Amino acid sequence: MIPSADTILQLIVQALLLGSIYVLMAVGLNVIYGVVKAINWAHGAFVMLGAYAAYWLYELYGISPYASAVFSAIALAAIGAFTHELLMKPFFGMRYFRAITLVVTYGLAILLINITRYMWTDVLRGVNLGVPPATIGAISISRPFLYGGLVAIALSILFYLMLKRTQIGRAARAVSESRKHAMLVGINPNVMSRFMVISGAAMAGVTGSLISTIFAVTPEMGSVLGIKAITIVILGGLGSYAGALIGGLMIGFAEASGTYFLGARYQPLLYFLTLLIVLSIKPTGIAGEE
Amino acid sequence: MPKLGLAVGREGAMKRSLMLIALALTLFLIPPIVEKGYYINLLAIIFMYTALAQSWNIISGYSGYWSFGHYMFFGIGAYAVGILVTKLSFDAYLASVLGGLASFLAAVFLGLILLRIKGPYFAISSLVMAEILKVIAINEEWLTGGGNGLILPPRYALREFYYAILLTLLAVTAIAYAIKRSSMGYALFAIRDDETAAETYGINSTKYKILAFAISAFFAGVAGGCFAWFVTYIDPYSAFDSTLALMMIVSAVFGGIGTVMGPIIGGFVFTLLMEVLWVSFPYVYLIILGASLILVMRFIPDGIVERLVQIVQLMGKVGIKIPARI
Repeated sequence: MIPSADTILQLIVQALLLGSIYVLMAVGLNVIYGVVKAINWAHGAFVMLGAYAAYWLYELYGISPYASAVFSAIALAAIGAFTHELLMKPFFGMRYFRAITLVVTYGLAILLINITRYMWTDVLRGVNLGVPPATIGAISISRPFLYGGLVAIALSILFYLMLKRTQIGRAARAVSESRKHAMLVGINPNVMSRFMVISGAAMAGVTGSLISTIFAVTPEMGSVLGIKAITIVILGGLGSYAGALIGGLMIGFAEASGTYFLGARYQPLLYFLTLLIVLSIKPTGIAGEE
Repeated sequence: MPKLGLAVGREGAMKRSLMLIALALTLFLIPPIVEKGYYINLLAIIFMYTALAQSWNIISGYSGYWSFGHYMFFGIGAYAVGILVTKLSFDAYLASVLGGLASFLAAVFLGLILLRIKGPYFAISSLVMAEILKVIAINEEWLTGGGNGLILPPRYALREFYYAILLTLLAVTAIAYAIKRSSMGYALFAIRDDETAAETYGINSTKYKILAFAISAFFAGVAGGCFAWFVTYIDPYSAFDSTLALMMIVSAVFGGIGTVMGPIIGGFVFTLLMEVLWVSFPYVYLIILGASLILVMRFIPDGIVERLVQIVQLMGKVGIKIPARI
């Protein structure tokens, strides 16, 4: 079956928009990894909490998820601060730091997901904005997708500029290169790592708000998105901004086209296989160094 | 994290504690003769989770390759038995061993791909591999029955399962101990501490990693196989259940990663806890698992066994007499 040009265009646009949201999620995870060198397994759980925040604010007070994204970001920033102080900082300098933090944040993910499940059960929820799809030429895109993708693109670019152009961004990159040498030039690495974990978590909150309008909000999304986020950053290469971009878009394409070409049943295989193939060729991901 | 496991120079103590384990496990041969009901079932389930934790320990505890997808081997074993028994009418005991072998071979093959990948990359790749197998089990209906699963003929009773899984636990513990004491154990610990350095010293890291992965997979597969014919029903969600990996990790971490005693103690503690909580408060149990993982890593990263040893030594110092040979 050869799809028509319009179908292909439609798939590409959808993949780009979905991919952009994944990029935002992956950038949040990578930002934490870059400075702290810890993979935050609970990132998906953070996204899930952001989505729940958006859902409840919409359901109870009618606040649009795009407005309440600010609230999600603040709430998750607080959780990020706790995570940094209690679950990452005590292990700094330990020999098996990466393994320890991976396991500890895995525990945190289980904890958060099941607390959510305990409080709000497994019921499928979601924000239904009830807006008609936007039609551009021959393609029609659902508006939550369109807005979510655009917000995600804007935020990713803003964050990139902050990393590259501002003093804070330069300091963060310096700590990422070497904590010791960053200290020599007067940067407090603990302050920087706290700041970056908080911003990473806040980005997860915003991602959650955007996703609440697209996918069903359930506790399970915490573990699914957690695996997805880690898959993306590992696919692209840990700690690399370009890696998050490549990985996020690849997964976006794999998902959008996988459903179309392989059907919903085998669709999860496509990005898992992509990951395994990439890693067996280049064990540190596409743009990863080490 | 100071000296995870490997207690060199405490061989006497280790031998004693091992004899203690052997004695305790021999005592476990008796219950099914006098009892047949709830408690036997509970003990058998404890043995199963303990055997799984111990098998996880052989690859992840010893070599430092944290496998978050180890439940895939449980699933492979379960499905091997399910397919052999239902489609080819094999004997269940033989099928369990073959299930273990299937896991062993799968691990050799997958190890060639996965074990090249290091650290967090390996952790997530193993999980992803397990999820791929789960998707295949859901979709290949001609072989696995798809989402409906496979129904096995109910021929074996609780007592058979009890002894089979006890035997598995004994075997995996003995093998874990033997590996730890052998040159292979030292090679694995060297790989965990610094793989490049280990290779520089002439250790064939690929060989040892794959062997440890495959041995570990064998026992997880046998446990999965026994589970399949005991519950007489398997589906992709119960055979490839990521909670199993969580249980293995929490049990081993709680008891002490890389120790032989650790997974046994952890397995008993957390399976009992699960038994108490699962039926009425499943989420509370999972919350406790997550919290334990955090708290143990934070406060007793060496595991509870190491702490108990320290307490016993401390008691000796302040003059509390304990029998020299427990």
